[in-house]
Amino acid sequence: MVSKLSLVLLPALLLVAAIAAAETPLADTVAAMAATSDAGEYAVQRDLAVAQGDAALGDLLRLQQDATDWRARAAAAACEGWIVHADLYLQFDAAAPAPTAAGTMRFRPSDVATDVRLAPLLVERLVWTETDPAARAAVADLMQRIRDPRSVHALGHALLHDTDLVVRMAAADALARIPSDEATSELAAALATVQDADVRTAAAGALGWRKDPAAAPSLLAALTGDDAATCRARAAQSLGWLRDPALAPPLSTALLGDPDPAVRGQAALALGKVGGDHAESALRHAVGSDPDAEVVRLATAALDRL
Amino acid sequence: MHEHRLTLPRWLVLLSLALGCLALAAGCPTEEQDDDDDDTADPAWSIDLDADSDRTGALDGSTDEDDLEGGAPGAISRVDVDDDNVDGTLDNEVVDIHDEENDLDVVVIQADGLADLPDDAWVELSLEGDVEMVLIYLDGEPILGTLDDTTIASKTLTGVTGTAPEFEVRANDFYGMVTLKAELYDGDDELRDADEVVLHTAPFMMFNHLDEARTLYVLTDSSNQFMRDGIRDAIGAENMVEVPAMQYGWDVWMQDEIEFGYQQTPYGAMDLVLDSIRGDGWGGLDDLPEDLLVGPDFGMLVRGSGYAQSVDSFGNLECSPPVTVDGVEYPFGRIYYGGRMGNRQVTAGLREFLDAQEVQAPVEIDSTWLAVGHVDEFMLFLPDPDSDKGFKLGWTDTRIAMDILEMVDPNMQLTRFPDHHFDTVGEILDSSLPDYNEDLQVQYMDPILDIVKAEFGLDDSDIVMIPGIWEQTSWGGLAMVPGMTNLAVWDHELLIADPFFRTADEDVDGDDNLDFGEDLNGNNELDTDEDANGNRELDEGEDLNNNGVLDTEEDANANWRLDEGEDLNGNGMLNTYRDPFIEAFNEVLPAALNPHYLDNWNTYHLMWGEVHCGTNILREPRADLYWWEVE
Repeated sequence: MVSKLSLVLLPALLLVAAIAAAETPLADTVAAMAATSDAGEYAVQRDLAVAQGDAALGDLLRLQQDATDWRARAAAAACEGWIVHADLYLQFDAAAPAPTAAGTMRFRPSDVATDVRLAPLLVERLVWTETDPAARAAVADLMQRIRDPRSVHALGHALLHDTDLVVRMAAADALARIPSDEATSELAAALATVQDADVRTAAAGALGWRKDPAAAPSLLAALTGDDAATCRARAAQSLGWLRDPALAPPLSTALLGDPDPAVRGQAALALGKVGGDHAESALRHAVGSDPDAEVVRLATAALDRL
Repeated sequence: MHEHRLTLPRWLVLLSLALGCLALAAGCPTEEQDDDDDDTADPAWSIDLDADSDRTGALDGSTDEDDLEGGAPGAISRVDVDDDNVDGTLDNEVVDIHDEENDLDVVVIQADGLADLPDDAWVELSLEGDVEMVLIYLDGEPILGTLDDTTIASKTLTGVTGTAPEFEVRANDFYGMVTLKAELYDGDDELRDADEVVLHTAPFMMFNHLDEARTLYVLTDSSNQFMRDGIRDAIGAENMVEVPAMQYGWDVWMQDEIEFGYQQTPYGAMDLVLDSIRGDGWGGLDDLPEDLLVGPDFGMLVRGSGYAQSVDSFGNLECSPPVTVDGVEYPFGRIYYGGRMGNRQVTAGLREFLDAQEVQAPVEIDSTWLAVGHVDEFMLFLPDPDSDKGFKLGWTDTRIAMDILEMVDPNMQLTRFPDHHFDTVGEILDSSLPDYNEDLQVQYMDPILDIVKAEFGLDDSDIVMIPGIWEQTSWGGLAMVPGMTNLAVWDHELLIADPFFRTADEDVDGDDNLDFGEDLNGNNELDTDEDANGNRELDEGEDLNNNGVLDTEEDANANWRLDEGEDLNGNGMLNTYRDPFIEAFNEVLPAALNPHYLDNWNTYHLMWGEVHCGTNILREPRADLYWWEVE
C-alpha cells in the first residue's frame, strides 16, 4: 500500500524515483516486487515504480502482457492501478473489514463497491502486503464478488501457500465462483498437492461447485487415493454433481469398498445423481449389505431418486 | 450438580415425610423443615429453623412453610447479578451483606428455641447440596458456603444460649439447592434436637417467542437504514433502542452477543442478559451489556470460556414455546442450541450451566452442516394463537424452494442475485446448487427434523415449511436466498428478510408508495410498474429510472412465464415484481401474524446473517406461572 508518509513526501520521492528509474529499468523493479516475500520491500519497490507516474504506464502494460511469471504481471497491474486509480485505491485502503455472523471478517458491500478496477489491488494485498490473515480472507472474499480472472493465480497461490486456514478456505470459495478455466486448474493442483486435508477437502468441494467436467480426473484421483476420508467423501459428492453416468463405476467401487461410511454415504448420494444401471445395481447391493445404517439410509434415498 | 430435582414426585415427598416421622418416633430428630408441629421432641430442648418456605415474603412460623407438595421446596433466593448502585460492580461481588447501596437479596433463617437452654448447649450447623451456590452469614460474617473458591460446609456454634440467631443467605449462582441443618447438643455432647431448612436459588430462564415483546435492540449504520426504518414502521420507534455501530466496531450482530433472560422469585422477577464469549478479546459488542443494559434489577452473567467458535454466538441459542414431550410438560419451553459432539459444540461451560437449570431442559441440534452453524438459520418458533399449541415451528425446506425454481420461467431475472453470481433462475438450476441442496436435505435436514419433532413433541401439523436455498462454502451451507426463517418475532409482527427473489420492483408491499426499504437503487423514485396508463408503451413521465426501457411487470397473466408479447423490454428475461418466495411464505403463515419483509441484503445477508441475527428483543417475564409451581 502507499504509505501516508510517501504521499507527503511525494515530490521528493518523485525525484528519487526519477534517479532510480534512470539507474534501474522498470522491469527490474517489477521483478523485484514479484520476487519478494517481504511486505515492506514490496511497498518500497512499488512506490518507486508508481512515482514514475504516467510515463511508466506503457512499460507496465507491456509487462502485464508479456511477463511469463504471473507475479510479475500482477505486480505490474498493481503499479498501473496505483497510478490510474489512486483515489479508488486509497478509498479502499481506508476501508476495514467488519465481522460476519460466522465470526470471520468481510468487507461490507456498502463500504467498497465491487469495482473491477480494484482487482489488481486485491491481488497485491492478498499476495504481498496484507499481514493480517483476517483481512486477507476478507480480500479473497471480495475477489469472489468481483470475479475478475486476474485474481485466479493469486487465489491459487493463497490456497497452496497461505499460512492461515481461513484464508485458504476463502480462496477455495472464491476459486469455486470465478469463471475461468484456470480456476479449475488451481483447485486441482491444490487437491493433488496440499498437505492439509481440510484444504484438499475444500478444493474438492470447490471443484464440485464449479460443475466443470474438466475436474473429473482430479476428483477421481482423490476419491480413490486420498488418505483423508473427508476429502474422498467430498470428491464423491462433487463427482455426483457432474451427473455423468460414466462416473458410476468408480463411485460404485467407493460405495461398496471404501472403509469409511462417510465416503460410502456420499458415493451413494452421488450414484443417485449420475444414474444408470450400474449405479442402481451398486445401490441395491449396498442397501442389502452395508453394515452402516446411515449408508443404507442414504443408499435407499438415492435409489428412490433414480 | 443438584442432588434434588426441581419436580419432586409427590410420592417421594410423602415418603420422605413419612420416613422423617418414623425417624422422629425412633428418637432421631431429623424433621424435614420445621418442628412447630413436633409433638415428640422434648420442649425443653428444641431448635427450630424457619425460612420463608411458603414464599409469602415473611417469616410467620406458619406450618404452610413446611408445605413441600407444591413443587420445589424451601425458600427461594435470587442471584444478585445486577448493579443497583451502578458502580460497575455486580452486586453479588459485594461481600458486605449489609451494604446499603445494593439492595441485596437475602433469605433470613431464624433459629428459635435456644432462649432457655443451659449455657453449655451448642449447635452444629451443616450445609448439604449445592454448597457452592450459597453463602450464609451470621452477624454479618460469612460462616458457611462458598466465598472466593473456599467452601465451608459445617460450623460449630457455641454461646448461643439465650439468643435467637438469624442466618442470612445469599445466592452465589443460579439454580442450586441446599439444606441447612442444625443439630442441638447438650453439654454432654448428646444430640437433643435437630431441624433443617431447604433453600433454592432461582434458575436462569430464557424467553420464547410467545412471551410479550418489550424492547428491540439494533445497531445503527447508514448501511442498515432500510431495515431499521422497516422495523420502526412495524413495531414503533418507541419500542426500539438503536445503538451506534461505530461505537462497537461495526459489529452489527446484536443477536449473537447477548441472550436475554430472567429469574423468577416470589418477590419479583429480574431481567438478565447472558453475555456471549464471542466478543472476548477482540471487542465488537463485548462491552454492550455493561454499557447499555446492566443496572438496577438488570443482571448479567457470562458462562463458558476459551476460544469462541461461531456456535458460541447466541443466534445459536433459542428457546421453544411451552411443549409437552411424551407426557412431560415443559411449561417454559425447551432451550435449544446447535452443535454436534466431535464437531463444533457450544462451549462446555455454557452447556453445563444450561443443563443445570433443568427448567427448560436443553436440546442440542446438529447445525454443523452450516457455515455459520446457528439454529436460527433453519428453525424458529412462530406464535399461532389459532392453533391448539399456540405456535408453529418455522422450518427451512429446500424442496419447496426447488419446486418454486422449477415452476417459474428459467429466464426470470433476479436483479439482486449477481451478488451470488446468478442473473436468472435458469442459471441457478444449471449450477451445482440444486444437487447441493438435495444432498443437505437428505443427509441432514430430514433426519434433523425427525429429531426436532421428537424433542419438542411436534407433528407435521405443527410445522410450516419455509422455502430456503443454501449455497456451498468451505465451512458449510450458507443462505443463498435471504433466510426468511431467520426472522425476528415481535408479538404478532414478523420481521423477515426480504428474499428479493424477483426482478427489481421496489413496491414490496404493493401500496404504490416508496416506503422505507423499497428504494432498492437509492434514486428516491418508486421504480415499479412504469406503464402507468397500461398501454405497454414507455410514455413520457413513465421512465422512472431513466434507463430508456419500460421496466414493468411482464408476467401479465401471472403464470410465472414469459409468454408471447410479455417481453416488454426485449431482454429475453421475465421481469416480474412478484416474488414466489414471499408468496410461498405468506401462504403458510399463521393468520394472526403480520409479515414485514425488510431489506437486510447488504449489511446482514451478504455478511452471512439476516434480520434475527441483527436484532435482539427483550421480553416480559412470565407472570402467570412460576418455576417452583411446576410439578
